[in-house]
Amino acid sequence: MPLSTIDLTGLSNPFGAPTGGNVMASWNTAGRPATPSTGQYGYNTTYGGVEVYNGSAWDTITGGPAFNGTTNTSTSISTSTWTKITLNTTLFDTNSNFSTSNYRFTPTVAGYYQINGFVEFNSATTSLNAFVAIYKNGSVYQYGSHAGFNATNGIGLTVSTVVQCNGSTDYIELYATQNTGSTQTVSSSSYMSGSFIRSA
Amino acid sequence: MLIDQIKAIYPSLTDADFMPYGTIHLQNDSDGKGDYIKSWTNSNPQPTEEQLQATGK
Repeated sequence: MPLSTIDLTGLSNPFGAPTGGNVMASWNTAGRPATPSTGQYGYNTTYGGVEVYNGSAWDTITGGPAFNGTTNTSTSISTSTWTKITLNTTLFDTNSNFSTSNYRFTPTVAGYYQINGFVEFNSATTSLNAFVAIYKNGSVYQYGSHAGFNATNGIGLTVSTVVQCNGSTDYIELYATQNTGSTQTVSSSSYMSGSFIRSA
Repeated sequence: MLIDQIKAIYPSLTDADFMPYGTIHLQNDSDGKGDYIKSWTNSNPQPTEEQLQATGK
């Protein structure tokens, strides 16, 4: 009768290679172990990260999405109308989760995300009250800063928050509005960035 | 603009009646479909599309 046992499940080379590190088990999301043990971990090839089973779900350890959506065009905003900022390009988008055609971030890994937004209103000839907000699934999630001014140099507004996403259908967008009484424009220096910070 | 159509129907409305502090939420999803009424909890009834178009604005 052995004094102890060692569970080698999932280890392709438990004693290590002569030169180089161990290679952990890997799978894609659809091919995850059917009956995982709490603490079992492996490399998920679907999103390219390490995950561990917490007893009820898979927690992502590494490889969570990060993005920075920017724009090379201005966005016209009718007075008193919340308008999505047309973020039509990216500086980076690690998991291809940001759409530059509908300007939204739809993460494929469930968890909490730090989201940051910035919009810059171009100069206005009338006094301007401007607002910015992060939207989740098409509705206001949280407002950011707002300002009232008589602008000749424009104004920048920021928003920063943490959003929980389900990793499949939840999406995040950046909106802004103003109430000058006429249409104003948001400049091409606007952006929204974000990064996975922990599993759900 | 949509807000001009709404104010033509309800002249007593002011900017304060619109989001973020008010009861009327206008939105544009930058999808080419233009401005629309996202939500309406104002005491006045929400105008119909026909009423909006009839303002001529």
